[in-house]
Amino acid sequence: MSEELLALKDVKKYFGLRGVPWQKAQAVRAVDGVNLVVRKGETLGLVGESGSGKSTLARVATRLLDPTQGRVEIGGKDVTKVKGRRLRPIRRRIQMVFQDPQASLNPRQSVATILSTPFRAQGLRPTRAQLVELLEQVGLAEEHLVRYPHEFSGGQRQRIGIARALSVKPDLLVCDEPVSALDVSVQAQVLNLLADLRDELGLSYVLVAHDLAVVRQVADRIAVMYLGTIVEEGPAAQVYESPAHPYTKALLSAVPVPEPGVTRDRIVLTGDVPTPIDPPSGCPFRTRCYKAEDVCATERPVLEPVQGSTEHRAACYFPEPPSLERTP
Amino acid sequence: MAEPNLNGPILEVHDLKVTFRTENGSVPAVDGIDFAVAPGQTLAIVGESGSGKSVSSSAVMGLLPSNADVTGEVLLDGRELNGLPNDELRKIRGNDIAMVFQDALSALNPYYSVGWQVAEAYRLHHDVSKKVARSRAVEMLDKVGIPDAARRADSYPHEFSGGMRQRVVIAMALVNDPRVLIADEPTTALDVTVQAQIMRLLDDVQDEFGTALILISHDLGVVAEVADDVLVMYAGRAAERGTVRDLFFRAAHPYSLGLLGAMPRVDVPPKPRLTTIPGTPPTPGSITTGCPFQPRCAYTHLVGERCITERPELTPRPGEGDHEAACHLGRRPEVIL
Repeated sequence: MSEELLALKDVKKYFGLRGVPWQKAQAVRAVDGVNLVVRKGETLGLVGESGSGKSTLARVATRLLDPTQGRVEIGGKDVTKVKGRRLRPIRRRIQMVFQDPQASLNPRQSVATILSTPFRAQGLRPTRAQLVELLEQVGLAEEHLVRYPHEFSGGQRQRIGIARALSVKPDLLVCDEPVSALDVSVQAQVLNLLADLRDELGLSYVLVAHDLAVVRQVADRIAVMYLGTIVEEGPAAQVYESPAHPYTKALLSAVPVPEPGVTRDRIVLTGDVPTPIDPPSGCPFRTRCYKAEDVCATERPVLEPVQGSTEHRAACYFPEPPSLERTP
Repeated sequence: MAEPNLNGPILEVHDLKVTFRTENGSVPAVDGIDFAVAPGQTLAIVGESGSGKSVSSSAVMGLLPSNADVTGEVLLDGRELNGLPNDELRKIRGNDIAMVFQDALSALNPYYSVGWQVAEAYRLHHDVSKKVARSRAVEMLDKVGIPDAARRADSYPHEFSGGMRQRVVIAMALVNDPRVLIADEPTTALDVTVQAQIMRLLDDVQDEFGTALILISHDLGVVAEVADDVLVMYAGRAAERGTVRDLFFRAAHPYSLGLLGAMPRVDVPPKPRLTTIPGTPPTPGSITTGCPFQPRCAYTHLVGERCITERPELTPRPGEGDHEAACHLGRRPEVIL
């Protein structure tokens, strides 16, 4: 088994709500006890709906947010308590690409300045050749160095964001919704670029996305989040073809397929995601689940191997049996 | 999907052109498109940002700012809407044609309860008491699946989730039994499980009221599922149009084919690489001669000069209905990988 790049151990992140004096202080349980490992060379897809805590988890993993509880290990070292300057060598191993390239690039800086910033943070001075190499890696050219973010299209801006993340030669890129702001034709270009970079540079990714089709295209392992917890985890092919958790099954069945006449057995969930301030007792999904029984309200189910595979795990008292129709 | 309708279209648009007068000269956003939709039918308008799909629908509703010049015919039941004075249009907007926008939060007024807002939409077109309007509003909220509608009508937009807000906006659009509903990216801001609920709701509404639906979307999955006819727009022009099966099984325009190849799919194992369309969509007005898609097209070499010099018109293609594509390459493009 290859090297562990990132390990999250029982990570919790609560955001305090400032209450009124006569009420008990409340907390949003954005991430509520997550264990997750990312190994060298793999692409982990972190999927879930809005409010599931996937972006918060990504920010805790990159140490942009401090966990309320639990441990963050990068390259086998506990970095939970590392702060300030001493974080910099860690940041060299793990970098982040953000959703909105418009908001994550400083409009008053040229591309050259944007790309040199991570070098300077590491106490390095990049050469022009290094910057050009970065641009070429993401499909841009030397002439773009002197331009400013507004001169680029959305797809090109996202490429600059990726180049910036690559500048310190990280092992792991955490991409938070990297293509959701892009048009379909441009989205495909960026997805292919991410795949190429993985092959060329031996990168690993954590890909946070709500679009399940996008994640299927690039990820080899999937973790499905619901209300701050991981409800199912496993190899991409197994999770997509034979989901074990009722939530994963419903989520996948809800994605429309671009083929007219294909009728899908759709499980339409009723209601909305409950509030993470006061999550349901026991299984967080039980209030919308089509399989819920009394036991589901008692204790929160833990991730356990399902369908005879040790890699594929689900947190459910009544996991789905293996699907018979596997795509060859 | 609804049954084919024999009564002919309720809304017809002919040679619609929209030009914006700006400081930098006039910018053509929509450059001559035609479409029609019949009662109970769904027309999907597909395209990327800047293709003119939202401008077209706003033009139909007469909602464009004053620096927009709109020419062409917009016929509702044979009656010309383009050029009607504003007070005439106001009788039609929200009554015969209603619209659902992408962002439900900004389509609702945060200061008023949702029940009041839906009732207001009803009172604009019906001379009824507030009490009657309110009961109508509650009835509509109930119809779009707001639980405990009579009580929730007194809630304010911020007290609803995104999916519930979009239901409120749909209730408001449907309160006057419109004959045409224009939905501009109605589910783009929503999660997939909620999207499934909203698409089912729109489908039920069509079945019950025979509403004609114009769905503006970039999501080919949603389009494949609900549309009867599809219009693919590129740079303000129609690249291709036909039935939903014509587009998905017999795509005749390289751009449509590119879009289909660029969509990752959730239901089949991934391809090693997605097909991409190189480059980015042109800014409106930047391409004046030839085919607007030519700079990004992989098939130009099969045709040659004509793509640069001559603008392709929509010409018939094999298919179920009036399948047409605007491409000099007369035959169906072979897939280049």
